[in-house]
Amino acid sequence: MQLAANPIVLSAMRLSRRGHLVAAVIVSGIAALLMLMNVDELIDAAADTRLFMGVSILSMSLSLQAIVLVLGGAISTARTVQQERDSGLLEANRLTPMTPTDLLLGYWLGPQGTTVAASVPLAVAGLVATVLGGVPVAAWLIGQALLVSTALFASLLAALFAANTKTKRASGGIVGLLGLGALWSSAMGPVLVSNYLLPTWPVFSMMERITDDAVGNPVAESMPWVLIAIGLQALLSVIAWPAARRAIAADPTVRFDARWLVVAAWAVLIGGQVLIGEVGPHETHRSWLDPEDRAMLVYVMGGMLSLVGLAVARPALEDVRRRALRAGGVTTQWMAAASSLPVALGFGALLTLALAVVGPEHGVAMAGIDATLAFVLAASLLELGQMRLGSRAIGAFVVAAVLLVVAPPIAAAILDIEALALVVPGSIGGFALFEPIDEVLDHGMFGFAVHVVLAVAAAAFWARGVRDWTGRVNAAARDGQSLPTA
Amino acid sequence: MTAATVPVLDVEGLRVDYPGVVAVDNLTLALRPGDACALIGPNGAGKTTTMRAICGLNEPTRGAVRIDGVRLDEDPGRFRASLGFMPDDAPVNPKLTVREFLDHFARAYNVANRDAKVEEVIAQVGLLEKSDVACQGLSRGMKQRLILAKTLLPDPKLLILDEPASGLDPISRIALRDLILTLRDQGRAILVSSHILSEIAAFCNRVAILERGRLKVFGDVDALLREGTKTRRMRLRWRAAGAHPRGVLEGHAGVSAVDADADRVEFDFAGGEDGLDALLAALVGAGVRVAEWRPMRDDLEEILLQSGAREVQ
Repeated sequence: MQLAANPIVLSAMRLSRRGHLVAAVIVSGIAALLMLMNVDELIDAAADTRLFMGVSILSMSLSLQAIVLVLGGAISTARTVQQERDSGLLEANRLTPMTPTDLLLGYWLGPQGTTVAASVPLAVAGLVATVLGGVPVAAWLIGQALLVSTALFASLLAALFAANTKTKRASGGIVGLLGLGALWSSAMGPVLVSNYLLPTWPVFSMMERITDDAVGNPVAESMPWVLIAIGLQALLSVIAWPAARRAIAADPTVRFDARWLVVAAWAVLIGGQVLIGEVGPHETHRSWLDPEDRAMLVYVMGGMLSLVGLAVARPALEDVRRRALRAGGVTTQWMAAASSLPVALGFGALLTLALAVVGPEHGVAMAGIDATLAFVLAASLLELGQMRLGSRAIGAFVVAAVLLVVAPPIAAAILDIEALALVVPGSIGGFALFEPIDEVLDHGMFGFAVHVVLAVAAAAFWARGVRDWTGRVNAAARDGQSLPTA
Repeated sequence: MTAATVPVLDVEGLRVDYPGVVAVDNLTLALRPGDACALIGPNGAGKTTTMRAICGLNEPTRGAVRIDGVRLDEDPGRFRASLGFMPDDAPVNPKLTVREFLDHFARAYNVANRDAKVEEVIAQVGLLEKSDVACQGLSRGMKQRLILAKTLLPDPKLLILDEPASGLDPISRIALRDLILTLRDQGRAILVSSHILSEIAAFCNRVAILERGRLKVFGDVDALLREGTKTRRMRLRWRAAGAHPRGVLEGHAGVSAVDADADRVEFDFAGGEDGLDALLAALVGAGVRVAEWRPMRDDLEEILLQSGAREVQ
């Protein structure tokens, strides 16, 4: 089905025409006129001043466009999906012969009409300032490309999240987080963290870079970074596409596994950061400081994302349960595919790779191995908890994780034994990235040994839990009973 | 199997699991063209889950659903175009007009002669005067009729109606009943659920009773009444000018628990449809001038009660 004939897009356009379209265009038109009120001064100014004024207006117009397109677009998409899901219209559309792709395209692009129309006056104001100020038009063009790419990416994520969350509050919270991601670097200034919000970071920080470059450098210098950002957004969109299709269209042909989406997204994000940090010309211009800091950040962010990923995605035991019922029993192969342990090992391998690029050599092996042990421990405990406790597993996991993180430093402080602080799972890696290897061996070996023991013990308990659980599932499937809840 | 004998709806061994609960268990039923089947049962029996699983909105744990011989995974487009589902909560887009709402779904179903078809279904459900009114201005009953119009857009071979009369006023209920009768007579198969059995008794020739996700009874209404009815409560009213029925009733072997007033009597009767016919003939033959002769409960109510289906606690 062509996009122009997509009924969801057509209905959304009808609604936007009779909704806030005119008001939104009038407001953005007034903002555009205000920016261009000094256009006579812009024309009469000396060459240097004119360029500076042109860049200033272009920067303002791009920032306003970013708010309208990225935030407005994501919010429109999320609201439409959430409202239609709650009212039952999403299901009514699913029951028509529209393909899953038609459905996703409709909900993704349909609600963008108002925001696109509202951004046009701002884009025109930016173009006028660009031309009159003698700013290279390429700066305006790549700014528009980056904005459109970011808006499309943010809206796809909004559709994915809104379709997956069960309540209005959750949808609103997720859109709020997206907004925070977009505004973070602008609000917080050039801080390290802003670099990790790559999908939305370019909207502000890269705009600033483009317009800065337009003053003193050839615009072509900005082009590779814009293309990398757009490419990474496109790659993340491709990764998220099946998940969004499954969420919007309940597409039964997609056997979607959320855990691997988290791994892939993590790889792209961290990989992108490493790429930009290593080969870009702006290592110290924005936020990439010395190599040790970068390695530490990669380590901490990787660890955080991994734990969040494991906790959010959870092992796919429910899928095993359903398949067991269909086939009359669970196989070891299914359990291996559903387990989070391969995901944990994947995270560990990726993190080691990322550290190998940015980190000091002596710490890489130690950090990578310790991170992998921490992920194996986390995955085993999560999965064991889910098999034993069902829906209470996440709460129990959080309590256990807090204890493991908080208790060792307290014990170290009370007993005045520094090595105890490194009993916190994953902490050896951070230590190893900063300190000489002799220091690591002196202070970290006890903690490392504890981590090995914990990971091995957790894996052993996990194996026993799997054996018990599969036995119960198989017995229930054989007897035609409702299967034990995972 | 020839085209004529392919069931419009063929459900085989359907099972739907929710965590810890078997919502539908090993359900098998088939509907032919022109069948109108009442899907009934107590609260929590699995009626809505069954309907949603048939439509593909709930993924079955196992089992197969074929509509017009096609499974959803074989040809999703044909499967969905053959199916019209009317949920009980009337989902409409409040800001679109009636015509725009139907145009949306006519496009989604790729309906030929879209504008004409939209006008046709608007007229069919009696919403012509409201065709340019925004959906938020419609009453609940009108919204139900609008959803029915949407359901009819692709000319589906199978209609699945979940509580179609909820929110309708008495006039609209009569109109809906007549419309469903027309659709049934056109050869469409209809699967309909309702808690008000008298509403659907008028047009259902088949009945499926669910209890705790299991199909307890399935078959032709007439056949089930003939085979399964052990005792039916009947009411007889007569004109004073004729003979009194007491003698005939008390002398009849199938009659018990007689409760008589001045001009009417209620009694339990065991003996099936043929026995009832014979008793009526005996009464008339004895000079009783019968003014009213009817079962105290509808056929579907009778079958449901005799099935012993119980609510899920």
